[in-house]
Amino acid sequence: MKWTEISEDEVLMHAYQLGDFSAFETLYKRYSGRVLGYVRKKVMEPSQADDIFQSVFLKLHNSRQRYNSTLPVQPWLFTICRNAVLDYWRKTQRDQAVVQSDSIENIPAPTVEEARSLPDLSSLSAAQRKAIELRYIQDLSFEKISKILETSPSNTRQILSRAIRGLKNVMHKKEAS
Amino acid sequence: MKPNLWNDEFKEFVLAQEMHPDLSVTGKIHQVVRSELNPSWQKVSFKALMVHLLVGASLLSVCPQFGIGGFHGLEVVLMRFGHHVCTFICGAIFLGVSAMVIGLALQPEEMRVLRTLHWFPLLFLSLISLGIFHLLGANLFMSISLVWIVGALLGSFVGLQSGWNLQLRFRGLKPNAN
Repeated sequence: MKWTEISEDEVLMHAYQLGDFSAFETLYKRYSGRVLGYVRKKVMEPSQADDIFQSVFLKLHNSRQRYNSTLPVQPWLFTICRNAVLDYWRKTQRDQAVVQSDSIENIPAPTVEEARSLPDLSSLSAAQRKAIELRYIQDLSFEKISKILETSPSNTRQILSRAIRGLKNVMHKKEAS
Repeated sequence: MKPNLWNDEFKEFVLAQEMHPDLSVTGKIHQVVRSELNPSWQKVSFKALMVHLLVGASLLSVCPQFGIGGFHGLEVVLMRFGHHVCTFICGAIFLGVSAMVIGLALQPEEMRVLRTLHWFPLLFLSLISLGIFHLLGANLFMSISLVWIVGALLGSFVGLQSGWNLQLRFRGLKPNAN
């Protein structure tokens, strides 16, 4: 029987910090099942769960020197695991937000009648007016608009998104009055 | 985060139903960890050499023989004990300080690899240093060079151990885990 198999987690972690691979192997054997079980419970998609599982052990490896060997291993590992799951959810939410802002691209250019009924653009800022004009009158791409406005494409999307929201508000007010 | 929530989630983690990870995922993780915990001796030697060149250059800049000086008093004191003693201490200080920084700078796994090479890295660094001294115009004689190397080996051995012990203390680790 190897010494690692009968050692406590903290002793193993200490050996691992000193560069002992077999200590890591034993810790992995002890906790990989539990980590994967927890991650699968939080993230249903198996391939995503596997990625998070992998990132947990790589984070454990990269931060092994920050571990305080006088403290228990399990809560520390759990914290890494929990943060990895939270990071995944944050990233997913961010991606969804980007997808939503991308949907501006799908808004069709207004027809002549629609354009006539559009409110006065003077309620918008100069950048918003310019962005609306470039996007819906000149039909330019976000990349080209961002170059003209000297900003990033994502910022251009934001400017357009705010402009449309501003126009909607003005129209609602107009309808109400 | 509220402590109760953390506790609840921790309990959930402890009681989670164990699942077997995919063998390919396990293999990938083991491969990364194994390769990082077992760096090649060439990589470790190169890192040690770079540290030595940096520290050695700094030491030479204040050396009474090669650099701007600053330790003339020390040289006078050491020369009172004779040329050989002075040379021995010169080697011990020069390599000792470098080795101490190496002991502080190398990762634990790199130190493990360095140790498996026994005296060779220290001898290698001593010979490289003598070669550089020669290029800088020093006259090297066999007996005095041997005394310098012996001093350098002993100094670097003590320096490396001291640097390593300091690193362990900073990291809050004990020298032997098992």
